[in-house]
Amino acid sequence: MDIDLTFEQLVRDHQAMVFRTLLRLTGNREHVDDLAQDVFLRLYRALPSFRGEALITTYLYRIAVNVAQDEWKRRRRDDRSHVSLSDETSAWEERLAHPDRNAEQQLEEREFQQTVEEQLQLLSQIERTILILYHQEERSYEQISYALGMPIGTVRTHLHRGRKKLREAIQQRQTKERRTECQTNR
Amino acid sequence: MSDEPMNSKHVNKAADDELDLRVLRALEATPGIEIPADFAARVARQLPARRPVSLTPTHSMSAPASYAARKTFRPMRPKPLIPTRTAIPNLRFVSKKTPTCAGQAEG
Repeated sequence: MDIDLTFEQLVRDHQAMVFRTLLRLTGNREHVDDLAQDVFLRLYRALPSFRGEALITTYLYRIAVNVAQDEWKRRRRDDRSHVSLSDETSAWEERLAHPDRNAEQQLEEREFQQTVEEQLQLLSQIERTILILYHQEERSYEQISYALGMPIGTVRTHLHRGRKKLREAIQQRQTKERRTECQTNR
Repeated sequence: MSDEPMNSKHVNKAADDELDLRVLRALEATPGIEIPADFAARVARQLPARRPVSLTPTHSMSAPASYAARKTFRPMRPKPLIPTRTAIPNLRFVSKKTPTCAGQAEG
C-alpha cells in the first residue's frame, strides 16, 4: 500500500514533464495518455534495478524517449500520417500568444510556431529528440547524453545540425511563400 | 566603392539573427497539456500485483553459507609442472641385497 501511494505521488510530481515531452516528440495528442501510462509502468518495473546513478527525471526522459521510439515504429508499421499538434481540438500555440500584441502579430506568431512544429517533425528522430530535450526541457548535455546513451560530443553535433536544418527549412519555406505571394499579387 | 553590398550583408545578418531568435523562442515554448485529474491514481491501479522488492537502490544480500565456505576455503592446488609423486625405493628389494647385521653374525 505504501509503495503504491509513494509511486502515485511520484507520478503526480513528474506527469507534466512526461506529457509535455511525449506530446512534442510524437507530435500527436491522440495517444499521449496511453503513452504516458506506459512510461510510468516501465519506470515501476525498472525501479528495482535503478541504481541511483542518475536523477529519476533523467531516467524518466530515457524511458519517455524509448516509448516515443516505439510509437514511431508502430506508426511506420501502420503507415499512418501523424496528426498535427495544432489540430482543431488542441491549438496549443494559441495559448502562447502574448496579450499585449495585436491580433496580426499574434496570428503571425502562431503561424510561425506552427511552421516550426511541422518542420520539427520532419527532422530525424534523434535530432528532434535532442532539440526538444535541450530547448524545451532545458536538460544539460550530460543529462541528454545519459538519457540517449550517446557521447556528449555526439549530442552537441546533433543539436547543432538539427538547429541548422530547422532554420534552413523555415527559410526555404518563407522564401517559397513570398514568391507565391508575389505571383498572386501580379 | 558603393556601400550597398555592405548594407545588404548587414540586413541579411540581422534577418538571420532575427530568424534564429524566433526559432529558439518557438522551440523553448512549452506546449499546453491536459492531464486527466485521475491520471496518477489510474497508473497506480495499473501497477502489477507482484511488487518490486525495494525502492531503495542499495540493497545487498549475502551469498549462501555453503557458497561462501567453498570460496573461502578452496584448497590450494599445486602448479601443474611440479611432480606430485616421487619414486619411492622398494625397501624389501633393497634389504635382500644389502647384508644385515644379523647375517654378518651368522657368517
